[in-house]
Amino acid sequence: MIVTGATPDSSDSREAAAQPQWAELVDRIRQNDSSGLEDLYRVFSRGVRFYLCRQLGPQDLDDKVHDTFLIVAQAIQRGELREPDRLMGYVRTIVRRQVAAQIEDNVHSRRHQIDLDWGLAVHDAGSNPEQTAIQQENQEIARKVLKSIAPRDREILIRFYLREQPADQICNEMGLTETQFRLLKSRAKARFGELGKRKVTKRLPPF
Amino acid sequence: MRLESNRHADDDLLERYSMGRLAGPELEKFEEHLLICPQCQNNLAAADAYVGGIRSAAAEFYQRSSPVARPRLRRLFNLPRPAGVLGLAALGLFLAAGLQFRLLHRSSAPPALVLLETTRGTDSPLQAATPAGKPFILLLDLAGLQALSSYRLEIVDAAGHRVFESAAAPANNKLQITVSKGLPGGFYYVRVYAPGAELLREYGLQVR
Repeated sequence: MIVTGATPDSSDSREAAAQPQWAELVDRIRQNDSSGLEDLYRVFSRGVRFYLCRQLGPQDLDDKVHDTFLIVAQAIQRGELREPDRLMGYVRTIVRRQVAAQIEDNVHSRRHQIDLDWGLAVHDAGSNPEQTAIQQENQEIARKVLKSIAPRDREILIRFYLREQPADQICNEMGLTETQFRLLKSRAKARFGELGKRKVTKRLPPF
Repeated sequence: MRLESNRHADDDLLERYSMGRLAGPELEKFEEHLLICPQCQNNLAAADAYVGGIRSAAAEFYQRSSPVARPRLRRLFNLPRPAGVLGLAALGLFLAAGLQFRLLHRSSAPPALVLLETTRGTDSPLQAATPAGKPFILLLDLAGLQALSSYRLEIVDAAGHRVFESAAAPANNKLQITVSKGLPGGFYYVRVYAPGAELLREYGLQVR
């Protein structure tokens, strides 16, 4: 696959891999070239999978990813993507629509179940056991982090993460500079990372 | 931080995305990048783990503490020193009244905070829970919904009967609504509507 060049400052560690040339890829898909479909899948499958899993959970994930690619490929072949350079935006739009449709579907089917027999609507409270275990571990680690810091620092983190107060409001009310605030946050995060290094990094969500 | 399409997101941007605080072109650009960048996917998964963990743990600490009582007590001790007997008497009366107010205030526990999020999959609708008969604050994540100036919210019981209704304007892509009288134990659904009648989202809520 043809790729564009990297940015001039290629020493930047935050620089990502160069992007494919979307127009060329779209052209191959339009011509029903199987290599185009393969490349489309290769470039986007992990990201689409990640996005869908994050929004909807791992249930029926393979089917959802497959449906998404089918919609994207067919739309491209029908000529609905008018600006090939906007392929990433187009895929994002389709994925977001898939998520919205799935949520709406869940809501309506649950309402329908209530109409038939409300007992059916009460799902098993136990979620995916692995997910539950990971969430509990994360919560336990975060609890240790919050316990280990001064009450004032804890209040700052609670204000930011739980009460969702803007950073400048917290800084004003707690007499902090922006640097102090950032430092506190990054220390807490680093501590979380240290405590959970063995567990969390090995158990990222399945996508 | 501005994200260029061929550069990775920094921690601040990942955290803001994880907390549902990105919007507009910044959100658009990041999500497009995320679709093709495995490194940012991994970093976001780590950010989600951190934000989710710290929120849950913070909610525990928040519910255990009584944050509004402490500043009031502090204010009592910061009163100006009176000059003379009259001032002292006034201070005594004031302290007595203040103490009574504080005792009254202590009798009412702070409301529980219930986070309702949509990103945890279809097979786990009963994550959110709150104590029965006690006031609680619902904090709803509106990420992924159309941006509106206000939303209508209703709570229905397991049989579909409405038990609470309210409307509120969002802030930071979140909707915060207080259910001051609490609810009896049972299973409920929290539904978010557009100002018309369009149902936008539904969450499960366990009241124990």
